[in-house]
Amino acid sequence: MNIFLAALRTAIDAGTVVVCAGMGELLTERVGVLNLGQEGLIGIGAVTAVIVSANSSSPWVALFAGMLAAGVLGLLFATSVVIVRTNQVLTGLAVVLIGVGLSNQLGNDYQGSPVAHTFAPLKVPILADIPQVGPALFDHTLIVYLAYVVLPVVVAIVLFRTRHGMNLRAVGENPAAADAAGINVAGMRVLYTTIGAALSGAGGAFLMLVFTTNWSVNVARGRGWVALAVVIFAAWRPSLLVFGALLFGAMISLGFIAQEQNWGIPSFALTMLPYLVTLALIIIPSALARFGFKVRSSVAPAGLAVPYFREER
Amino acid sequence: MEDGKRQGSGVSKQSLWEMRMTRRRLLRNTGVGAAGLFGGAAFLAACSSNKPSGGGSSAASSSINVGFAYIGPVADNGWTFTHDEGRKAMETALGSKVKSTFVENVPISAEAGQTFEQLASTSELVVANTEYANYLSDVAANHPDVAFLECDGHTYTDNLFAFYVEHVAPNYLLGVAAGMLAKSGKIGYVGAFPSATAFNDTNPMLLGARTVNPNASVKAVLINSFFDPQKATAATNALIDGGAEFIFSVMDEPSFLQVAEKRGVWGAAWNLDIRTFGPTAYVNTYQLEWGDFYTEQAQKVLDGTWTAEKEVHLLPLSLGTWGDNVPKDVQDAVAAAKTKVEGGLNPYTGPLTDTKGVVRLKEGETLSAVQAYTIDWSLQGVTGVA
Repeated sequence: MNIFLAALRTAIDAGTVVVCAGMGELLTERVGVLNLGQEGLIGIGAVTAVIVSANSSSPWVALFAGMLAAGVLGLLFATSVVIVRTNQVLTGLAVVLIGVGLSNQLGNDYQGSPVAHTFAPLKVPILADIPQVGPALFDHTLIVYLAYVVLPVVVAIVLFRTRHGMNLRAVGENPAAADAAGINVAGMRVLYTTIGAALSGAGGAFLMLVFTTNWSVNVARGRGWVALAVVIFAAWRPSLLVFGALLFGAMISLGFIAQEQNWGIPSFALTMLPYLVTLALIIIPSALARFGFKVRSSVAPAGLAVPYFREER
Repeated sequence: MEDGKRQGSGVSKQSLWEMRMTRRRLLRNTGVGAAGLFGGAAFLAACSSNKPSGGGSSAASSSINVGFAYIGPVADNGWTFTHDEGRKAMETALGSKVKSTFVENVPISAEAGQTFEQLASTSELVVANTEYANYLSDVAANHPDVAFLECDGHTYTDNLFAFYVEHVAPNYLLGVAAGMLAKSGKIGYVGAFPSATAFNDTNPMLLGARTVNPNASVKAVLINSFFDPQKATAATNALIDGGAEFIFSVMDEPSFLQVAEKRGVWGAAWNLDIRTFGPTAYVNTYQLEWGDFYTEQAQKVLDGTWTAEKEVHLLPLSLGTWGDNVPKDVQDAVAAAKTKVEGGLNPYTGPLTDTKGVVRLKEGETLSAVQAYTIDWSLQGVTGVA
């Protein structure tokens, strides 16, 4: 396989975590809740997957356990910010600290030994046999296809093609109006924050069950923050989010290719690459707009991070 | 290693004294916040300055405490695991004369200084299993009556010196195996930092490989960590994507071998026999054994004869048992090379030219093990280290 196609293959895997977490965050933000806790949710999903994998016989059980555990933490967060109406930024940061700390503690005994049950790649018939491109694109685990193809399509259809999706977006844009129209604002917010957290947990579980089948502390390695940035880059659209995540993945794999190919860039600098690109993704659209270029107006949901008080309507 | 799951279980059986102590717990045990720590440190420094100084403990003692600070977790199946085995071997050898404690996951930062301060205040001998530089030497200076050992360190004072393993020869021997096993001659190296260790892994490996395969080359990918399975996995994949058929890793965990196994290339390592993680791919490992050295040093402290050595104390390393699939002719070739090395062959013998074309060793010149300990150049044919 050509080295760049090989890099693409790694990029797809590396980006999957960001697709999962980013899509979770996108849904959460679409209902007007800002969950900064991605880093912690990925950690919880990952550590749960490692522990359950060691004590069960199937990676699927581990995957769903990871989603469940992250979902529970997400539900706690949602209850706090939607029902109790705590500050979303501070509560989100608390989720990061809880998630990262707890996962490091729980995962301590699993350091240095491989995850027990992992997912095996699933070749797409016919397509995987295409020379060069086939192995790079069509020889991944089922979760990768789900994350890159099924998940964005489902989310896009629900968001933009269904009445439920319209209600969902209304809750994020103008909760007061949505409430007046008879939509259960709090219920919608809690539900999608929890689902979003479970998706982030799936990202964490993927990290352990496919990408690197070895537990290590601070497992998310900033991917949670990248997921937050990619949502902004994607202008809250599922299709663009996939490309943002893939670009991030490409930067990760490029860092190692550059060393292998001896391009002469110090390894410390290469480590920064994915984060520099993430920063660029955020800056470039704003910069273009500033200099008069027409860019798709990347407006955040108007009700984002604003607690909704019916009494103040 | 026979049992891939032996981590974790051993810890719970340990006595109260050597109860698993994390850095955080150790700090918490002081029962005070940062201000208290500073005060405590100053107090301890004041106390120690009242004691007679003069490089290490000067009087014989009936029993001593030995404190270990580990860069990684004891369950890492790698570097820190081997040091902890060494600590246990020392306890077994010296029995009731020595008590030991350890702190794992000590970062190379100001927090390390606090950890060393704690260990130094309760121990007669403090061992750091990686280079903490001034975070350790500053504490050592405040505790002239405590003996300090720094693995892979570069500081030599009256009560602190460096110890390490001599890995030029074993890397050369593994290079012979690599040159034969990798038909294309492409050898991949998953390393941590661009330090002397990395040069002393890759250079002798290339020299060994070139004795059997003139086309041999070593490509390194450095991931700035000794324990990062995520990056090690990505680095190993990148090397194999680039054509490497033999991967050598210095990681403290075995994820690279899993990748090698999955992708059908050979894998060799440091630390300990990790063949259970990739039985088909496994080639060999330099076995790290610190027990005898720790025992010897602790005994010297007990006898009151401990003094700091003035240059690095290099422990000999040996290869372990060959992997199940390593052909007989490879094993024989390495055995033949081993005889030559034992007969005085120094892999670092000129003429040798570095990557910039500078002749580093002229015809017949050699680099001794102690000189090589501070090497900072790559041979032509090695890429990615500098």
